[in-house]
Amino acid sequence: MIPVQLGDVPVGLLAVLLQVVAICGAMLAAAALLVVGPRRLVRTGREVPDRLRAVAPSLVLLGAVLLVNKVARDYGPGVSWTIGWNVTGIIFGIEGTFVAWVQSLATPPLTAYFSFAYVYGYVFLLVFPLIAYLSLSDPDPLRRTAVAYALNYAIGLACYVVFVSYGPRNLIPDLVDPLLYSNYPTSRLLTQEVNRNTNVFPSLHTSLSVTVALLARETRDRYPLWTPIAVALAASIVIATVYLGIHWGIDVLAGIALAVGSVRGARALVDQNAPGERPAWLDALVARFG
Amino acid sequence: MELKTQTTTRRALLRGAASLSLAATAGCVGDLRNVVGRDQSDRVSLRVKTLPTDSDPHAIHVARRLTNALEAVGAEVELLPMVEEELYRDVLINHQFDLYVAPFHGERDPDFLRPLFHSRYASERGWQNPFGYSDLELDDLLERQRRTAGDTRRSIVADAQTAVAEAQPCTVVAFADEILAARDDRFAGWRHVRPTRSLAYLAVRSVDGAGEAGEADGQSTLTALLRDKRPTRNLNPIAVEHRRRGTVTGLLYDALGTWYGGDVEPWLAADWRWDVHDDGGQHATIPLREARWHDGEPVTAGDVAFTYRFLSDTSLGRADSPVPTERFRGEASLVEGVSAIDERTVGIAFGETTKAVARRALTVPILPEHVWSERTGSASVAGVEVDEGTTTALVTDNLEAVGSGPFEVREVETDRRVVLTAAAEHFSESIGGSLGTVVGAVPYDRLVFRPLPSDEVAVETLAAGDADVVASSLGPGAVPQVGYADAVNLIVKPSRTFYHVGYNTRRAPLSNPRFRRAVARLIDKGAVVDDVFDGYSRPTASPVADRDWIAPALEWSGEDPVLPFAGENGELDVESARQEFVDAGYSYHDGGLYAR
Repeated sequence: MIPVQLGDVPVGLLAVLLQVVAICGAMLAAAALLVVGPRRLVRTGREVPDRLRAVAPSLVLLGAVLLVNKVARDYGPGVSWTIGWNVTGIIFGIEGTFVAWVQSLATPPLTAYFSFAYVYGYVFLLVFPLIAYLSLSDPDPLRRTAVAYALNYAIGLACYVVFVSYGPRNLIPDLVDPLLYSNYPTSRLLTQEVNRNTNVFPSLHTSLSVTVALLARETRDRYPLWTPIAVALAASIVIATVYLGIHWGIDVLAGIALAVGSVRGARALVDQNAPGERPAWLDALVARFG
Repeated sequence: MELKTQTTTRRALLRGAASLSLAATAGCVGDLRNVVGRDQSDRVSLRVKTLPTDSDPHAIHVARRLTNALEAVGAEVELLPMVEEELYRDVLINHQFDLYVAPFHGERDPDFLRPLFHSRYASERGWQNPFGYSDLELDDLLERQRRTAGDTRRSIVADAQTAVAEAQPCTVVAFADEILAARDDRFAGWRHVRPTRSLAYLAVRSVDGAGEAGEADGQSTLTALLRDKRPTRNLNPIAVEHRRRGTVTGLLYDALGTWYGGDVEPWLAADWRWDVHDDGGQHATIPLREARWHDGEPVTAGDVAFTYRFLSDTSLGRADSPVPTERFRGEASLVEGVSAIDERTVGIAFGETTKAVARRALTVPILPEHVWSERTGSASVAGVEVDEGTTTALVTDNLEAVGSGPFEVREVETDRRVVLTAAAEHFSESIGGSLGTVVGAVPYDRLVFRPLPSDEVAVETLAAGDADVVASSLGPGAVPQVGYADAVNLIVKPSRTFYHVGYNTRRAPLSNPRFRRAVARLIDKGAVVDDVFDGYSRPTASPVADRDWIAPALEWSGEDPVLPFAGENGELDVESARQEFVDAGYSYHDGGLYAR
């Protein structure tokens, strides 16, 4: 009964990963049929290589940022403790026991719902736009999505280096329950793979979810069904970050600001229709990555 | 907009001119200086550093109670959770803190109080006097207890404890029980030697009929879970910020002796002979067992002599002033001289120290001279020397540790695992003596330490059969979960690990013992034990755990015998707590606590 090593993945994590893949896979398949429609999916299947080529620079940018993000996760904390600013106490000083108040409304069904939204809903919300926008003949929504994701990660990462901050469950465990981790302990194996416990300001769960919701609103004429789904799910995830005791209210506000900034930035970078309205350095960037 | 700015500026100018002329006409420039020349009074502002929930189940709770109480009495407080190595770097190495809350692993012999509170260690790094506390009378007691025995020593140790309890360089809160869990289907014997001790991994026995089957490569493995990632990043036995109790490094290095059954028993030493020399100095002659370093070199008396010299100065004379080790400092400081009598016999001189105290020095890890003598230079980052007072030895990660211990490092995966393999022909297989009754041949090939992010995950991993034991203490929240799991046994043992509030007595207002005493009275130790530790601890007024040594006046009697809680049933009596600060010479303005 030794831990079977499958590649590099310990057995507990593997089980969690398989579960995420299975559940999110099913959600993605259902949403693709419902929102995108079988006909459009079949046509997309044929045109995938061409469409990918059209958005390649944006996807490469996203890939590069994710790669940096992965490396920085290993070295970032050390750098962060050396040059960073521990703002945990300041955040708590400003917002006080807001998170505890949110948790005072907790019920077991709500906890189950928000835990689901935080783990599975989030993965689904981030992956689905890539599929949906790939199915559009207009490459801009996909470009914007990729660039907006990249901006979220890049700016978020920079904040994580500058600000050292623990979430409420680590600072005020007497007031805040780690609802996700006490009810679904093994989810911890997954979250620790993708993040560090000192990286809470801003909330990337919030910023990326809000980013998807904002982009969904822009494409509501093409995917009218997706907009309400994205907005509702994003709202759930935003609430979940606080409800589950993982983030402060201030992390969420910063996350929303980051989302708005990233979407605007992505629009400016991608929007080929209005080159005159952006500064020259952006034009240069667009020429390279756009 | 502009207009407004102008008017305010003008008004300010007028006001300035008016006050100036007023002062001048009154002829009271002297009075003005008297008033303005005084510094503003200082609001008491404190930062409390501690470990976050993820790193320690208790410290943050104790710190929260403390900060809440400090706020209630009018201080400005900021609570900063910090990951272990960063907290200990700030507190133990850089002395950058006001207050901290952390556990300290006390020892059986009360001589551990000497490095902890003696003023000569105040400027050193590590768990020696991090408080920067100095009291000549206490120094004298701590030195005398080392030279005396029996009732004399007992009464001196009691006096030292009382001095600490009165002056409060730190407020000792409670001794935490160790809460551990182990499966019983493959290996047995965890109850006898607790798995937080290195010795336990040599003391377990394979359960008949289990084990060998199902091992993919014919290698049997024991998997131990940690609640601490640091061993996957650093295996340096003398780096204080990276070690908790040294469970993992204790398996890689041998000491001359090890604590077992209330005494230090010979380990790498085959035996020892004590005698008192004519000058009154205690002396030990120690023949070594036959042993080899993991790189094949023999362990010699020269290595042992080197180790003690090295621990008292890791620069071996290269730095302007000695750079002592950060761990084992108290132990190493007992040794006055050490010499290799022949290839496998060492002589150690302890000066005027009793045997009972001197034996502590035999428990430090013996290091290979041919590896560590290369690490005596000043530490550098990218070729730039950082600090004269830091040697390479103190900062090396030592992930390719070469020890002589019963296990050697096979593989280290950052944040994932440390894989050890049983060293060939280690003497522990046939050690004899009282240790021989528990220690024998290692009943498995590989020992894997895996850090896990939470107690819940650790117990779940254990329950799923993916691990055999937890090697670091769990929080009380894990107890019911262990109870529900099949084939997992709960092991609860009292320990000498005490949680405490450390004060940086180098800084005002914590330099004032009256202030510290008033702070100490803000903590309801009894309520902390009930609520934070769920009863799995003992409240205490003294850092000494053992009944034999605790000062009778400091025995717990329902409340703290020296500085009882300023309140009742966990509820702080804010008025009386504030009065304590007023009596100590502090004052209140608008509800805020001021230094004057």
